[in-house]
This record gives sequence, C-alpha cells and structure tokens, in this order.
Amino acid sequence: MRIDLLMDALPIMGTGYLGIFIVTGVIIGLVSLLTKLTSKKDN
Amino acid sequence: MEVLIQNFSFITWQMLVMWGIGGLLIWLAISKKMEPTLLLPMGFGTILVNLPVAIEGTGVQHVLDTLFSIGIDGAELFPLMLFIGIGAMIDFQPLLSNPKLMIFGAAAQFGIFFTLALASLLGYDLRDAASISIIGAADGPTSIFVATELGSKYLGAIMVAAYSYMALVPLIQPPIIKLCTTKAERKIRMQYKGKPVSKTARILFPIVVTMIVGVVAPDAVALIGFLMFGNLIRECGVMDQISETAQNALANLITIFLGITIASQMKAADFLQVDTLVIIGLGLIAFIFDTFGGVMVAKVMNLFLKEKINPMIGAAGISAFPMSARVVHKMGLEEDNQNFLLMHSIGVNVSGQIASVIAGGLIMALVKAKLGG
Repeated sequence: MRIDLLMDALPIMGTGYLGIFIVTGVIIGLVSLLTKLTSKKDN
Repeated sequence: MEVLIQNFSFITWQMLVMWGIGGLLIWLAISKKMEPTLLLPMGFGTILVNLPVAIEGTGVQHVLDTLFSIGIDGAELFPLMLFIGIGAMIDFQPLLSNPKLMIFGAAAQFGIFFTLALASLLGYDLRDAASISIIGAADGPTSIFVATELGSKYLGAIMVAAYSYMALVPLIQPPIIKLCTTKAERKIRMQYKGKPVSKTARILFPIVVTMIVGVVAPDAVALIGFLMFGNLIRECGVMDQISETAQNALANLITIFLGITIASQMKAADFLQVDTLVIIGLGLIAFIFDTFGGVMVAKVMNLFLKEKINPMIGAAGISAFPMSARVVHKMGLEEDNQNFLLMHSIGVNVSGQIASVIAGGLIMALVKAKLGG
C-alpha cells in the first residue's frame, strides 16, 4: 500500500471529477441557449 | 524433418495460454457476438504473435510494428480516425432536446477517478495509475489515446481490458444497478417530451462543443475534435455519402487494423504478468464505480426534483454506446413492460461519450501538470 502515491492522486481525483461537472455545466448552458435561439429563429 | 520437429520444442506453456486467450476472444466474437469486429482480429492476432520463432524477424512482425507505430504509438491515428466514424454514428438529438441529461454523463465518470486513487494506493505511479483508470471511460479510443500520451508501460493490458469490458457491459451493469436501486425506483416512469431540435442547432452543436472543450481542456481537443468532426459530417446534410462511409467502411477498416495492432502487444512475455490481472481487475472496478456514480447522482437529484427520474438512466452515462442505453431500457421493461426509457438512456449515453473524452483530457492535463510536463 502506497499512501504517498494516494496522497498525490487525491487532488487530481477531486479536481478532475469537479472539472468534468464544470465543463459539462458550460456545455449545458451553451447548448440550452443554442437550442432556444435556433428554435426561435426557425419559428 | 528435423527442423519441423525442432520447431515444436520452441512451444512454451506461456504460448499455449496465449493461444487459449486468442481462442477465447474468437469464440466470444463468433458465438456470443461480442464486439466481433474487434475481438475477432484481436483473438487471431494473439495467436499470430505467440507462434514459436515464427514472428521474430518475419514480415508479420514488421507489418505489426509499422501499424503500431503509425496507428497507436506515434500519431495515435487509429483512435482518432475511429472517432470520426463514431461521431458520424451518433445522433445527439435526444441530448439536444434535453441538455440537462449531460449531468449523468459527467457523474458516470466517477469510476475513473476512484480507480485512479485505488491504482495509486496499490503502488502504480501516476502515469500508469491514470492510464489504468481511464479504462473506466468505457471508450477504447480514449483509453488508447490517454495511455499512449502518458507513456504507460501497460498499454497492451489496458487496451484489452477496455475493449473486453465494453463488450461485457450487459453482464457488468445490471447487478450493480440492482444493488444501487430499489424496485420502486426502477419502476419510475419517465415521460419523453422530445422537443424538436432545429437543423441549425444540430450543425452548431459539434462546433460549439469542440470550441468549449478546446479552450477548457485542450488535451482533449484531438479526441473531441475528431468525434465532433464526424458528427458535423453527419448533420450537415450535404455529405451523406461521406457520412455513410465514415460510419461503416472507415470505422470497420480502422477497427480491423486496431484489433490486430492491439494483439501485437499481447505477446506472452509481456502479457502473462501479475500486473495484467491487477489491471484487468482495476478496469472492472472502474466500470462498477462508473455505474454506481451515475445511479447515485440520479438518486441525489431525485431528493430535490418534483418529477422523479428513474435512477437507472444514470448508469447509461458510461460511454459504452449504445450497449449501456440498451441495458437500462431492457431493465426498465423487465420491471414494467410499459416503461420505455430508451430515449432518455440514449441521451445520457451519448453525453457519456462526450464526458469520457473530457475526463480523458482533464486526467492528461492534471497528470502532466503534476509531473511537470
């Protein structure tokens, strides 16, 4: 068991998992805006 | 005659084991129809590269080395080319009509990060631990790309585990989903309010996603760029023949080459190691915790939502497309034969495809930053 390696990995684990939600949130926001704008345009 | 008999003396028990593994992969491909386009060339290639003395110094070795150096090791051509085909296959409409589904795609990457910590605890250095953890992306090209970029020495085992588990999703996910949900939760019906999505939105989506990911997670831009390029070919409406070629001919050709090239890394001396078994085990843990993460986030969201979500759809957030969506749909029907979850699970499943690529990019960026480039 290598606790020292685990300690190196834990910040990456936290930042990485949080990072996916942040990037996903940005994409959700922009896609929602995109579909709203383009549906108005199509109407 | 003596030469012929002499060749038999070069056969080792390790080669016999590898022939057995090759035979098993071929059997799974033909009898069980598990990812046949990939497992069949992998199985045959495994036998090919484990023949006594036949390979070293022959044309076969030269061809396999060339395929490996251009297709995987150097330019990572195969995973990227394959992503054009995958992008052309994916219809993002269910996702575009309900973008919030992307949350589950993100949630179901939990196994990657859990496995990163576990592999580190078991003593793998950061490059190898990150490469092993990305098996949980449930996405072969991403696994190959990340392991190659990070220079992992376990590329062969990682590729085999990634593709084998993708084929085994229908066996791995149902028991985990059942363990994490109650019968009442699995029976939750979800109404599909598929809003029409304009062609403009479908065309702009791959461009916008490429730009966002390119800015936020530049290490993932090659993967997401090729994936989205394939999707743009599909959606633009003026390249139907090219789109069909990308979905079928291109994807099939690359898959054949990819399979046999992966097999070139399955020589007995490299493959029959304790580490291989550990990596295969860690890959399974990554898939299990991906499923767990997706389902649990859906359950947490249900605490706050008026209109409840069937938490099983969270499990489709792993990017094994479309197997995972089908698994969830089938499980929904088993609980209630009027519970049609397919459109929701497909939406989550395609978002998992995007999220797994982002996860790969973030892991690469974070590991490189930690190791100083």
